[in-house]
Amino acid sequence: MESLRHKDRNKSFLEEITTIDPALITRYLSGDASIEEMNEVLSWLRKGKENQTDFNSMKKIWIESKVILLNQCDKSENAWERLKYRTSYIQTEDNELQPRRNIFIFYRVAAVMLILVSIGFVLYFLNPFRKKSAGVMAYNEVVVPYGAKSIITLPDGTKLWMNSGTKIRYANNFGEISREVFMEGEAYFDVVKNPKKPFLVRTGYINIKVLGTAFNVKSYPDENFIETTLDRGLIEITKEKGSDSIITIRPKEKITYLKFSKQLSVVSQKKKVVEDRIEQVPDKIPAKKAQPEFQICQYVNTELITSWKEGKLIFERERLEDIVKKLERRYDVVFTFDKSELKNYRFSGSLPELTLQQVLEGIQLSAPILYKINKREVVINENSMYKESYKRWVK
Amino acid sequence: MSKKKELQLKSFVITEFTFKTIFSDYYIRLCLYAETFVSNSSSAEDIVQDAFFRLWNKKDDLQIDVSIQAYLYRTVHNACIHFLRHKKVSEKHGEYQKIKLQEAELLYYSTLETSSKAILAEELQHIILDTVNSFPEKTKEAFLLSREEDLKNQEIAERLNLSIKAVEYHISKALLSLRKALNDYL
Repeated sequence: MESLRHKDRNKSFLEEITTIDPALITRYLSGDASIEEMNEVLSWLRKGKENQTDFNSMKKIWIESKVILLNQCDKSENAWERLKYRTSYIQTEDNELQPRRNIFIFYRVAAVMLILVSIGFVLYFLNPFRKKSAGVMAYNEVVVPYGAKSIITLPDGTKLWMNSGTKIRYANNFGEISREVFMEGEAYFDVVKNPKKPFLVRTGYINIKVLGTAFNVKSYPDENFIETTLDRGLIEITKEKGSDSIITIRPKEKITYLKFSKQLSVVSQKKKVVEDRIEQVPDKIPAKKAQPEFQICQYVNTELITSWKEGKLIFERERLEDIVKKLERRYDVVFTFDKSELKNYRFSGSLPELTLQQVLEGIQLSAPILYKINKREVVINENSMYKESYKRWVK
Repeated sequence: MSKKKELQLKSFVITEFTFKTIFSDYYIRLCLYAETFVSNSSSAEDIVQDAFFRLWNKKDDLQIDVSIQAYLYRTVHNACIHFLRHKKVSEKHGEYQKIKLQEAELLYYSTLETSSKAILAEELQHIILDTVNSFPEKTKEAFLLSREEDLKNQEIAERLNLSIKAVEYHISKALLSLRKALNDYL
């Protein structure tokens, strides 16, 4: 077998030339090597700097070839959210953080939903619907509190699935001149087609223009990002303020907008990882990624993203910390972790519409945790008995 | 390496926009890199998270003469050493961790060199893909199974109906060919 020595022309005379069985390196990298073999690799590494450089190169190849085969979009997206949360928290520390759920606190009593019809110039001055049409405008506001879900039909026949903690607002004359909805939270829109009156969803940061289509928008005020996922049709994304650029989104694409940096940008995913992965890498490498404020993921699992509509919970290797956020909204509870490392357990699974207890039982089966429900509070403890055996399953 | 690339790698002023780009370019790579030392993916992710968090906080006074990726690799590498030195493990895993720590300490200086010399990832990946595609069928299969699903050699051997020795031969061959193909880049 060949030996690990290619860089002949760069070879330093001072360095001792030693060879090693490449299979040993392979075993070391794949974790198949025994302790003795690992020590053998170590002493080879000690023999010269060039061996170390060689080893580093092999490791780099090992890593890069893995990166190619991974669909990195979701993993780094989640991590990005986590990081954004940490950095934004620090940024706003001086400005006194508002309690998470202050907006909905008044509506907590309402069992399912509350329709407010408010007439007024207050809204007229405050909200983004303000248009040429002068005078007093009336608005309908639909609020779905934590712990509830709702389906509503707008005057034009457009159907809306509203997730927990979601608020929408539309003018009384909705559909007369235009179709505009302002929203906060998460909703799935099934928009009735009307090319003459495009449907516009406003989030305060970005606007989504629709001709007739179905899509999911996630835009909670306590999260640093807005996610729009297209199920079918075609939508156009523009920003509320600043640049006029339009980003067109196709089905199965998810566009994420980051609120904290208010610049327009597009990052297209580098690779399309589909079935026959190796052959599928596009010929053209995307040009410059100059605008990282928006990120588009292709071939996302729309079923997963819209599963909340049917009351289903579907997770794909999701961190417990992110799962808990969804559960807090859905069941109107607050979670606390006994140990912060518990937040990192990943969980995959599909659960039908269940009670909070049933969901937690399910998670408890596949992660070393124990839960305790105390009225509106849920405490997650470590299950130390279970921990060791769990470690053996997940590397 | 061309002047242009060098510029791209080195003289970054980190703004919020470039930060996200850096993040999506390096997050997975750094996680996999950290995993080669700490062999636990969630600890690896935490280490990388912290590295980015520190980069973010330091972005305004980061020295421009340090390439961002060298900085990130170094931060992650240090954190792995710290992790390995301080993490308490059972007797059984102690030996393994000791070796990993020695590896991390030994490679301390050579890592910086390798990581700062890196070419653009897309270019590297293209070469890898081309090379992998040129492999004989068995070599390709064995290598892809090992990389894609992180299978142990034993499992690959079972799936491909080969001996473990043969699997090792194919994977080593694949690695060496890639090493050869990337000789000018690594």
